[in-house]
Amino acid sequence: MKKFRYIVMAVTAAVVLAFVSCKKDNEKPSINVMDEGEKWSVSAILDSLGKVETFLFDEYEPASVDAYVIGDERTGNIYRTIYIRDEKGGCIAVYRNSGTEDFQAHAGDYITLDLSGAVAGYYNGLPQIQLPAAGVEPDPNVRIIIRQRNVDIIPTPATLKEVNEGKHLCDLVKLSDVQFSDPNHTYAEYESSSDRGIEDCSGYSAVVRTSNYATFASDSLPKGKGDLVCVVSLYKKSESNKTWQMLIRNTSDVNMNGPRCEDEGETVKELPYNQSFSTTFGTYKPYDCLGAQTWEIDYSTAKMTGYVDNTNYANEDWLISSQVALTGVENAKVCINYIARYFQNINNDISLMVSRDYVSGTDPKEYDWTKLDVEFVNGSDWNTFITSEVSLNDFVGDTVVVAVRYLSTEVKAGTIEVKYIEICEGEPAEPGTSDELQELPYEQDFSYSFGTYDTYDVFGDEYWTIDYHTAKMTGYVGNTNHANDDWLLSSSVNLKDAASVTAEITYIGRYFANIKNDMHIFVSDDYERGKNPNDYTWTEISGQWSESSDWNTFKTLTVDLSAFAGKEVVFAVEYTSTDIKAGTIEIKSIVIKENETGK
Amino acid sequence: MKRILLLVAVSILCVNAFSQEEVTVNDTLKEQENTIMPAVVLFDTDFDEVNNTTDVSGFLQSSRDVFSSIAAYNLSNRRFRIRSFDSKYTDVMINGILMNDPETGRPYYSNWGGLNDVMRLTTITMNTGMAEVGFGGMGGLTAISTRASLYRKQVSVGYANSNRSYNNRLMVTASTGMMDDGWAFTVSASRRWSLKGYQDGTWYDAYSYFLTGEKKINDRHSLGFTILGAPSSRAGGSPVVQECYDLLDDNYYNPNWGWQTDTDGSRFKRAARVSNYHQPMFQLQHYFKINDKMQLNTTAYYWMGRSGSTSLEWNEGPDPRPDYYRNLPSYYLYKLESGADGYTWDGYEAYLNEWVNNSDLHQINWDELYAANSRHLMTVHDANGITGNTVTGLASKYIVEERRQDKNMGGIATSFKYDVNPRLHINAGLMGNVSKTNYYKLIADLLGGDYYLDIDKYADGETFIVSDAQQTNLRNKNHIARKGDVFGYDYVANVNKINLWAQANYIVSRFDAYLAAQGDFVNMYRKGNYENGHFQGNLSYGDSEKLNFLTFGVKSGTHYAIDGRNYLFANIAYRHQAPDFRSAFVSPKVRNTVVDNLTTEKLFTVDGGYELRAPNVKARVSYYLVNSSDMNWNRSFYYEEKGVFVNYLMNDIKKLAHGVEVGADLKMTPTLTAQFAGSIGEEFYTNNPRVNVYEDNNAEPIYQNEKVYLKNYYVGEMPQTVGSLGLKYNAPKNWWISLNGNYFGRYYMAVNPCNHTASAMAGLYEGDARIDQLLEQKKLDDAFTLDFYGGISWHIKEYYFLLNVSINNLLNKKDITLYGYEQLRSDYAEPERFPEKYSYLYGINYFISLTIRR
Repeated sequence: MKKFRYIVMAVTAAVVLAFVSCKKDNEKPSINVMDEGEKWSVSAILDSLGKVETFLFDEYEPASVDAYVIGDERTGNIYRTIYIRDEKGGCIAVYRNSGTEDFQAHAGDYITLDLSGAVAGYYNGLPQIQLPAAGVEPDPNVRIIIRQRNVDIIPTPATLKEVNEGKHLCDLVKLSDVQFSDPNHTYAEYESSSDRGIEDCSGYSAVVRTSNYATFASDSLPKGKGDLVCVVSLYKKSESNKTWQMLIRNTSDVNMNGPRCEDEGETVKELPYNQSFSTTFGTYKPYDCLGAQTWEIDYSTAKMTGYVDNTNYANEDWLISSQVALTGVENAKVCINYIARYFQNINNDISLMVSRDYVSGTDPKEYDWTKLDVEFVNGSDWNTFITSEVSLNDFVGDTVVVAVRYLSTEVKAGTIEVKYIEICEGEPAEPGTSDELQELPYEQDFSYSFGTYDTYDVFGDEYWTIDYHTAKMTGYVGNTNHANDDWLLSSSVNLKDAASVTAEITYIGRYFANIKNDMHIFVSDDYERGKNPNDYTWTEISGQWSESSDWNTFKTLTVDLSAFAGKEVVFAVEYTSTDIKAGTIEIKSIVIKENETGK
Repeated sequence: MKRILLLVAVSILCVNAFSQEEVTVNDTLKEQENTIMPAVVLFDTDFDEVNNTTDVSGFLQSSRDVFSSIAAYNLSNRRFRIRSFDSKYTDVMINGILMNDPETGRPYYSNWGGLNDVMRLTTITMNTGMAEVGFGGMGGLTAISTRASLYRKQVSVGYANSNRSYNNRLMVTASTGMMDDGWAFTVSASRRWSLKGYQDGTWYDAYSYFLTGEKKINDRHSLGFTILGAPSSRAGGSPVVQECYDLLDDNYYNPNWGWQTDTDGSRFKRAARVSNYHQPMFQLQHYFKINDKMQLNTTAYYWMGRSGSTSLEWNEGPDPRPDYYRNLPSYYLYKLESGADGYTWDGYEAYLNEWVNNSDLHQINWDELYAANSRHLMTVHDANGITGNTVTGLASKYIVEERRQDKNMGGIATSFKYDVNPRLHINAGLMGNVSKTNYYKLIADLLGGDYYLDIDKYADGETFIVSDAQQTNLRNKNHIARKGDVFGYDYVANVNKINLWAQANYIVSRFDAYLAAQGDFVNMYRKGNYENGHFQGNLSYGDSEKLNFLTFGVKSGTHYAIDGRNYLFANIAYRHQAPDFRSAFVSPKVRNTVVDNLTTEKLFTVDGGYELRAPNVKARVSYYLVNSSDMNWNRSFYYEEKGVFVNYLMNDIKKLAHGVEVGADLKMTPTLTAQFAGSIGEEFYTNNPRVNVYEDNNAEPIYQNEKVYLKNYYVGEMPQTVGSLGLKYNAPKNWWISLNGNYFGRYYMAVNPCNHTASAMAGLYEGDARIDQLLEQKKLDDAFTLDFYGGISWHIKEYYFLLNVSINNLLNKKDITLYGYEQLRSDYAEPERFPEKYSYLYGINYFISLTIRR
């Protein structure tokens, strides 16, 4: 009997084991499969758009893109569009002429988007993927896979300056310390979309555009300064009429409740402390010590003149910065970009002053000031700005105030227009060193200055500057392309003892019509410094310039200078742009060296 | 002596004791999602009470099935159903009268709740075993006898205290036994009550009464009668989304109540969902002992009474339920993230804090409902169908309605028993029932208003003009309903049934075999008393098509005695069963339309096993299989895809349930006994049924014959792996204690069929995260509980005292999900909008009773 019982138990166990596998997999309804085909990235699409105006994704050839949705239409402010960003940070708009209920994708979704039949191109300046409209064969439905929801999308930290330079088009950015220029409005008017100006304390500005269909259109603008998360868009009516538009997704992205720029002059700035006077004085305050004339914003500059209506007037007027801490650096300098004309004694009438004890809003003459040793120059026209740099090393470690003092008399009153003042780490370009013959290896880093290099502006309003720790040149300013021809010229370099020489340029170039055509490398053995390069003989060296997909990835191009071995030459990089397309180049360094292999 | 306690039957079927909730299912708030939706589910009072009857070990000894008795006693806590059968498939009879509701097929124990003392004479047939008073359901038969002469003479008084559904119970029973004059009487009455149940906002108020008498005419004939009833009123809770539990940090949150300010300024708790039942039954019995071998028992009965439950109803106002998804902080967040105007992060934080800390938000705000009504002055023209009858008054936006099912049923049942010889026994019977249940709803409270405009709020209409489509009853247009008036719908469910059954039991040598068969004729039809504006004429008014079903069932089984201790057994059964009334009509509330392709349900079951009956060991191991087909599933809910209220009907569902059951009762010492019951089983769909979806107020179907991909999904709604291991100590001095550990695993939630259709997948592509959200079957966490039972009895003179203690969930685990289900409202594009709903097992709870008997 025991044996029988064991048999029963064994049978029971077998049955248990048997039916554990009895149930099969759950049946499911058939699920559509999207042939993802060729996998594109947003960055690749943008790179392709760098070569052609538009291109079509074949409607019968599967293709798709994976990206994060960073902006959607739910509030009604972004019209029939979602904005997407890929892993590399490439951003683009996706538009469909039938409403984004088709997308079902929201900000925070990670999606795969079918590109079949889509057209990529620039629409009114905005890089965009336009999906087939509803009802258009072969498949009217937007094919999208939402792979993940509620991804934490980090807005890219950005500045208005960068936005104006086209650095964050279509991206979700966080602008810090910005304010509405005139906050006494609602986001949009009742029956029309509206543009509202925003600015930062450095004077850079842009536009926040809000549709009157946005759910927050009738909300009042915030009065203060703070953070704004928005999508950077662009609307181009014509070549000469383009507007950078910041698109707010919803008002939870707006946190602007802090003191405004004009109310926080007392805040101590940190390096770099840059102030542009294109629209406001920003963090600078004028102080009128004498005379009826005062500093004003004119011609996109801070302008002071005692010459009014053909009459000279006596004035003493100061343009005074906020406090800036020259701490944490070993050297510092101040750069002033200006045009000054009609001064009789310019270095007496215009002074750069520094004080350690000045109290904002009070009479500067009651404090101690040090006059900086800087040479001001009377200009010959109202177009050519001059940059003068002077060291602040004597004040390193202190918190100081920098000021421009203007003096005029009833006998003579000059005019000065200051475009910007920059206080930053670094040494001023030393005069005289650029004429010295350089020996190999000849390395020039452009983090803080041009150093031994010189620049020459052949034509165009734009010019080489030191920006983002690079030598930077762009003809794209204020949403507009400008024609330019600008040269970056080395000092003479001695190649007499070298057999094989190369020049290595580390750079980032973006948004050119054709970078290989727009950027040139030249060598001359007869160029005279400070002169127009077009008057001398140059040999062009073919360089494999290529564009980067972001502002962080530097490329290096190397050219062979062996043909010039045995000579003393000047090495130059020429930038060109047109009114149609102007790229941006940032050169980190140029190294001319002997090739060790001797090749 | 067989004493199969009511406990077993109640235990097996306890989850459906709250099926009174089903009374409200199709109507409640237009969003009813599951007919097996518990209120305060866990501890049905009867179940608890039966747990505490006299002698647990005696209970076990008296049970013929060691697995069922242990499993039912300990494992039904988490909705375990033996062999996946719900109560619909288990017949319950009192004196041969089938107590299962004719419309739903389920027995409602609340009809005789509190009458434990007089419901002890119970014979339980498990599954398809052999019974003497009827064919039985596929899940078994519980036959209760209240024949007065069978009660021994006694008087008993008992008091119990508990923290479960009710707090107090008082019970008195007296039996004369058979007296010299040939009369026997038994009377019993009880009162159960609590001002506050385990959950806030719940309470219990119930009475019960019972009188049975028998007159022995002579040695052959006896006449008897039984009168029983159990009027009760109780306020219950309901499952909610997890968000509510998390926000309030309370797994027993009940959204169905709120504070109301009284006229004197004091505040009192008021529940919205209150059920009221009183359905007394009257029986006359005739016991005819034809001869020593034949017995013919006949019972005629009349069963009537009310069954109702209240809930909030509204028109022209926002949904007042605090757990309605639009009233939850998650909806504010959803609107905020969607960029809707007026929603801010500060606003979300404020609303979240307010919802959590202000009971007027997370409970029903009764004062606000009154206030809304007090501001709604309205004029109705041609009121009550009378031209020129203009009525101006406060038209309630919010009311409390009572949905009623008033029973009116009668019939007769006779059973015949013939012991042909010691080997052959024959049983047969005939039953006939006529049932008319009136379904309607009435105004229970106008909440300060003067009237409620009785129109279909989901129908299209124009301002100031009530269209015909909006009329709930074209024969009383623009009905101004006042307190106590019937409104909304009114129909009678007619279900008439004749059942004939017969059984032969043959014992030869070591074999004990039986064969039984039955035939049913079921006639059902709907009689509409309202002519609905959407379904004019006979589409809603008058008699519907008469539905007739002729069904049959056969079963057979055998028991083989290997020796005096070891047995083998096997059973097989096949049965056709008429669909229940509610599954036969598309929307019985408003129209006469019969479901297309309506057919009978088919069930096939087979089981077999081994049984050991030794002096110190009782054990049983068996395998079972239940194959069901053409099952019906009929629900009404708000269909998100179309934005309308729909009736969702599946009629060709196939399911398979199978598993292994093991039970053992091992007497290790004269005082120490170990008990074990365990089951590993599964129930899953074996086909992809077709669904027809009808808009509630439109005759045209939205979907016809759409395939629902359910194949191989678990049916769910119960743990499929269970086990209970206990140790019991019986002291020589008439006291005992028992400790039981219970395990519940593989508990899958019932899926929402809407999500398993091509329609749901239409806009989705492979790899989309929403596909898993829609198709994945969720599983509740496995759980373990510990229960304690104890008792002691003693005598003082002629009085017998019995003290019983039952403590469940000794470990006080409050995070065990009792029940969960996927909401039927589903957004395919954003599935997370309508998450699952849950209710939780009570923490530590007790039941202590003292009975004095003489």
